[in-house]
Amino acid sequence: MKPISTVFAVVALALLAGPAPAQSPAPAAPLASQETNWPGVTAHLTEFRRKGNTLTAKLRLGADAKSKFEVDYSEVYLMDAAAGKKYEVLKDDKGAYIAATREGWPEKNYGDLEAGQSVLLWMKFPAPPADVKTISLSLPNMPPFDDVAIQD
Amino acid sequence: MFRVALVPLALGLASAAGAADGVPYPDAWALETEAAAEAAVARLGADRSRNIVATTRGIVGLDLALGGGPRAIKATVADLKRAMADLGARESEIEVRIELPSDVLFDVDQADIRPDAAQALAHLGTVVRGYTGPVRLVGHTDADGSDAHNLDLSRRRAESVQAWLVAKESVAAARIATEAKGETEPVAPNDTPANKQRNRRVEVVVRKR
Repeated sequence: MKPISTVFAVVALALLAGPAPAQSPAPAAPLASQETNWPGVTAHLTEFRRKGNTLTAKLRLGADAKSKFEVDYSEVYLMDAAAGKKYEVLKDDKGAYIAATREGWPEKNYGDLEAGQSVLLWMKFPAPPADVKTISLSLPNMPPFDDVAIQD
Repeated sequence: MFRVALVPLALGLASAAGAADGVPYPDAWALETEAAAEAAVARLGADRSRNIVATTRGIVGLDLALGGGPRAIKATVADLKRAMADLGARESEIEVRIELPSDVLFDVDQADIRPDAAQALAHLGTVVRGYTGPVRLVGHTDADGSDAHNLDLSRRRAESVQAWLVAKESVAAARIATEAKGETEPVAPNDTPANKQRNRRVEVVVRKR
């Protein structure tokens, strides 16, 4: 009985560990892509949707080579240069970013990527006014996604 | 005994997984996530956006100096790479070297920038602004004309490029130094029109930092 319990405990611990980067099943065609300064990693913007009072951005970081990534959501924002406005990632009432965070790290996500792996990131912003049809998305360690059409 | 023990263990695992993988918001479109986001927006009230002017003063200054509207503030890594490729830049660990053909920049025996040189100089501006180090502009001529005339012409041409970078491309004047070499440092023998053309140039050296 004891060895069996040990096995289950190990399995349970493995399942409770933080979300590991995984192979993406049949990813959708990206809206835009950018090279990053993480070697071999390309960022693909796959969703950029306004719904209610929020805008949700989804990105897939895909690696061609073994690499690391780290995104601190305090450095992520939308910029409407024409209106002179900047929108930051939303936080809940406990101060955690409403985004794909790493377990134990409510302000960021990070991890290792093997060649061929990818990881999905998402984040929510206050929605720009309805008459704003395009806006730029800035993330650390890569050029901004400029003038991305907002999906309504 | 074994099966009985499995049930609560399995339930425990499901419950733990449902406790959100240990992260507050495992799914972007889960009802809980959307509710938290809407609540966050409501808490922000009228402060849902920040004013760029207050937070990125330097960028706005560059925008105004460029006179190109809000889009002009966004020079990306890709823009820099493209500009360097268009100019045929040679890059080392510490500097970027570019040779601008004088025939593109100036009319014969003149030192005023030709209007159609604007695109090449805009690319040069992108490269120069992409780095923080000092910039050296070195004017060269072919061997036609007297030494003194060519020295003066090469000086005036280097200074014209400097003035353009300062006035049109928002490069700080203090970063740029000019030199005149006249006909003293040819890159080819002055024996054919093609070789002379190669010698008529403004050499740009941008230290990366």
